[in-house]
Amino acid sequence: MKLSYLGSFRERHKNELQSDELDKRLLELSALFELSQLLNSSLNLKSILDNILLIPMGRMMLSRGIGLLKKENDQFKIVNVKGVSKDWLDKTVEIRNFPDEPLLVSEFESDFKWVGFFKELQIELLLPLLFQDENKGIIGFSRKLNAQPFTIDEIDFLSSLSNIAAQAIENALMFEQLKKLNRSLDQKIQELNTLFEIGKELNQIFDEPGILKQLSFSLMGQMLVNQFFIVLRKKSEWQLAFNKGSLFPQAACKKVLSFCDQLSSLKEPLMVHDESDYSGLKKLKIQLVVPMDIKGKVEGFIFLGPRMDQKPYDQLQLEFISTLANIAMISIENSRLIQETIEKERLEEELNIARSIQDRLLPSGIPAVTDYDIHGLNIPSKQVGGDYFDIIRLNEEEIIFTIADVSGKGTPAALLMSNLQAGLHTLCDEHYTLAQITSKLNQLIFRNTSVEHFITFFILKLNCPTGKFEYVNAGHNPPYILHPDQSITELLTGGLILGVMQNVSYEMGYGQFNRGDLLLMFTDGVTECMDPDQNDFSEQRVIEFLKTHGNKLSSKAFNELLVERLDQFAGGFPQMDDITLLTVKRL
Amino acid sequence: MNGFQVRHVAKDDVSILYLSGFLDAHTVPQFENALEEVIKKKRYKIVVNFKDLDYISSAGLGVFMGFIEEVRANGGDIKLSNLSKRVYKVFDLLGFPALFEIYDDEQEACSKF
Repeated sequence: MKLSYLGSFRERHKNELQSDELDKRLLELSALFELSQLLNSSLNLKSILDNILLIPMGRMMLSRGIGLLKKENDQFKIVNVKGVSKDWLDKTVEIRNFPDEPLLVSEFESDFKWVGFFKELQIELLLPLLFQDENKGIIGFSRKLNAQPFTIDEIDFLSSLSNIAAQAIENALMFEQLKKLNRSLDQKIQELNTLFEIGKELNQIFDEPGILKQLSFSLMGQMLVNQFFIVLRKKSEWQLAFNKGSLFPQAACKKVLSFCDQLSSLKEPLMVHDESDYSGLKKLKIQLVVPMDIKGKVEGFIFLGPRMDQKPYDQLQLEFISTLANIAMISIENSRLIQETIEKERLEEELNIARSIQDRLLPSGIPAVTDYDIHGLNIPSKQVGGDYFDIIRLNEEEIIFTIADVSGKGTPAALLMSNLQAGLHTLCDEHYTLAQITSKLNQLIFRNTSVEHFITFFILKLNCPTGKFEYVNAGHNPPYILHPDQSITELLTGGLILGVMQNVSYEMGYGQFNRGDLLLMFTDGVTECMDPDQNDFSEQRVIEFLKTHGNKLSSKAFNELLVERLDQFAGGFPQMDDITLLTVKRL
Repeated sequence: MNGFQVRHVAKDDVSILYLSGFLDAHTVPQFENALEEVIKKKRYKIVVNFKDLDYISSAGLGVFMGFIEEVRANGGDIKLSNLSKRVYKVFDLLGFPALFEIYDDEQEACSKF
């Protein structure tokens, strides 16, 4: 198209085109046109810079060419050389007061330093690259090989060329900047996507290892680092939670734990430099410390070693990694809260089970026995203490009362209690003495539990018509008998608590239960009932209460008043143990 | 949302993993397990073919970072092949081409061991 345009131009102006001069001029114009098209269709800075040097050099037989672009403060950077040593590339030259028009170095009279520089490079013709009246750069050429001076026409031509080139260079520079901007924008979007994605994902993960794993993948992918470890504060101690990479085996990570208290005042990521207060970290190959913050408090850290590409951490990435760390910290905190809730619910559930076991083991009703007033009650504590009482009718005349306290609380205590109850009921059906029953129960409990579990146990067999009784006390709080004359008998005879030694023999105690006597059996929830000042209710108060009220009240009224008295004493202070009372009066 | 699948094919001493679907934070554990399986068998020459992978997130790239040290320490490598333009862009943005060998096709990647 260019040529056909030129061809038809020639055709039309055949007569006018007589001189060579004009023909040559036309050729130059077409060259400019060609160059203009070439340059403006390219956004590649390198190819533009090559063309603006090579085209004139070829056309005018110039052996040297140089291109400079203006940076800030009159600094010009050499961006292209032809026929000049490549060593000059990327060097900068200070060029002040460069004229807005082409200049011939040999004729330019001044003592500017840069003139000497071009002379040294044997550059004769310099042309400014003007874009919107602003100097964007300079191109320069040596003298012509044929030693002829540059003609006005030639300088004009080169001048036009540099103007076209200035426009093209400006475009290319803008394009490069745009590309850079685009790339950094894309990187930001990628960061945001990662944060968004991990945020979404972490909402579905409730275990700490899972969260740390997700965090590590995002960290590795986004930051190009596979040398790092994570420290978290657990129960007010710094602990290693995750480590990755050969630089950070567990032992190395643990050396850092002692720095953590000092670091917990960090508000933002810390780049570890040689001269910083933390040069000790640098020795451990740590380059970056990122605090993990929740509600303004640092609860963890990510320690990072070198990136895989060995580049330093970029200030811009710190914002990303900080956000990532905080998102993860929130999730870890949430997972802890959830675990606690689950644990609490599980405990609650377990206690409910224990409570219902205990409920079923206690006698459902009190048997009516002529001339006797019997009442038992159990108030379970929140933790379910493992108290047990029972009333077993053996035959028309004989009845067994028993009270026990199983060590421990909750389901384990309830299960042991259930063991005791089953054993007791089986043994009562056989014709064993109380001492034998107790001894066999001891063996049973010993076999079924570990040594730290035991039972205090009291059993009493009463012949109702005669009032004769026998009993065994295996380490239980001694029951009291209050006589009408206010004297008190303690039932102490027996032996060791159940479940700590395999073979134990028990002694039996005997007695006579007369009209007006009151037998009070109770557990340590009564004597160890605590007031807000941590004073025990104690045996002494039980005895005082017994003496004051024992003769006047029915068994039921007596038990209920004692509970009321205990409540008063505790003054709303939560009680740790069950309270169990079993009271028998002979009318 | 598309799922994610990974398939392992052994070609001589090179293990080829074919990925398809979406590799993001959610599906990353699947890919991690697959790589772990291969490495457990002491197969350290690994080519990952991305032909059918529609999307990869930073977490997905994290898996490569997580294994590369061990693999290279054992004289192997993880080479990547058949990346779509979209997937390649993510690798490029995060600077992976400087660290991992990326090839147009699987055959070529295998031949570089």
